[in-house]
Amino acid sequence: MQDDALSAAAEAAAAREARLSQLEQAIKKLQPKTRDRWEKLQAVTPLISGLLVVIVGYFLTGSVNNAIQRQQLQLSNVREMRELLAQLNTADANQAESAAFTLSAFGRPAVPALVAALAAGGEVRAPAAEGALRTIGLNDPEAVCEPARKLLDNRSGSFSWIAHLSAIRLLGDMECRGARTSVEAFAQALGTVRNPSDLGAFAWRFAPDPPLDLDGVGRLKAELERTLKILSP
Amino acid sequence: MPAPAGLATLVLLVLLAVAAPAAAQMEPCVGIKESGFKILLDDIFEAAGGKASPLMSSLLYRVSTNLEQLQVESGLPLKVVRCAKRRPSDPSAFNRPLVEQLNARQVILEVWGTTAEATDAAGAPVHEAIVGYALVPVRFDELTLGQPSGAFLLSRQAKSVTSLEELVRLVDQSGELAAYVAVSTGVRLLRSKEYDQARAQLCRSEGLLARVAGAAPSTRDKALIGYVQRLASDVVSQAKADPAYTGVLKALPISTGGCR
Repeated sequence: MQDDALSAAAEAAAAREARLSQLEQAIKKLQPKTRDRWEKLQAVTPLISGLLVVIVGYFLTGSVNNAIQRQQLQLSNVREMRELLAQLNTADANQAESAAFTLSAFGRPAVPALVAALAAGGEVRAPAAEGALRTIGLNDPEAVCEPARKLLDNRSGSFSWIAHLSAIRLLGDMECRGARTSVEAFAQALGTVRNPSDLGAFAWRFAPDPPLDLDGVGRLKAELERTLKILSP
Repeated sequence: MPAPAGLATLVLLVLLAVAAPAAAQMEPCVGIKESGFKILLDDIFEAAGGKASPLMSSLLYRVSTNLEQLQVESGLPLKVVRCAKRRPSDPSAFNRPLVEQLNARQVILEVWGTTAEATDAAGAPVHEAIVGYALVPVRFDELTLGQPSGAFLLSRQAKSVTSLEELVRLVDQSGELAAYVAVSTGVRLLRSKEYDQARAQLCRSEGLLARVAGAAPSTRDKALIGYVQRLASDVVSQAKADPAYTGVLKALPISTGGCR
């Protein structure tokens, strides 16, 4: 009798236990799931990527528009400068000077064309181009300093010694302190020229026309001395 | 589109250009790229009509011939180059940038001129001529050192300018061309450290200049002769001080100085 009562109580307890665990499972199912970081990240990824697309798109469109506008401006500048550049090439001293001054009003965009005119030389064109570069450099020295430094550093034999002379003068006039090393290197190389037999080893870096002689070496030395004085700290 | 600052600069420069005296009216010279020492012969033209003399080609030949003796004596390669449509308005056209370019191209002398009809004191028709000379290396010194005058105008009078002889007399009345070429080559050679040739040319030019100046030399002639004498003296001292030079001037005493 007692055994029966005990086994009935045990069965009832087991049944209750089973029901309790069923209830607990049911409650667990009803409770909201707690997510880990990875799940959270997965959840917000579409939002972030959407935002990124919007931001990148905004900047990309801006820079593309800027690039297109820059190209258009460059094209328009070239169109407007074309006639002036032609005048610089063929006109007399007065016209060339006036064309060069007008070109200088274009500022930075006119620099490559004026440097090309300077490098091409000519007793009328080169001084006019140098004057225009000097005028641009008064407003925007950096626009002139870098091309002048590059011209001075160039050893390809493409530019005449007289173009280098102009570059040295411009670097001094514009107080291009960043070009001091280039000017010093040029001065050091020039210092090795003492007599006509030394000329060949130095003059290979220049275009053969006009030929460099000791008179030209003297001019270069005088201009270097002045520029180095200006650029000295 | 020009920047506002650039535009302001442009306006300022245009105003300055308008306020400045008339500048050079000259075309680039095509023959300037030839090698050797060069004498540029620009237009000699009528001030009224602006037409260049039809005798320019003949004049070119005659000037070359006139300089032949100097060329033979000096052994220097001299070439007369015709620069058509090139008309410097006055000596101020030979500013530093232009002179620097001409000097680099071994241009030693540039000659130009204008003629105008006039009447002399007796009322007879004559041609007044203004002939300009730019002694390029001398002008370079003038622009850096302040003296002597290296670009100037000379007034001439001729009964006519229709014959070649008259035209030659305008530009080379008393042997000016040879004298100025000798001075300029002498200066140029000295700057190139060609001491022997420099001294020979400078000493040659001293005599030629004295002949051009005549009995009553002008202030400009005196200044030019004095400049030549100083340079002839400098040649000796520079040659002696130059370790790379080993010529005959090394043996001369410094007191030898000039040409005598």
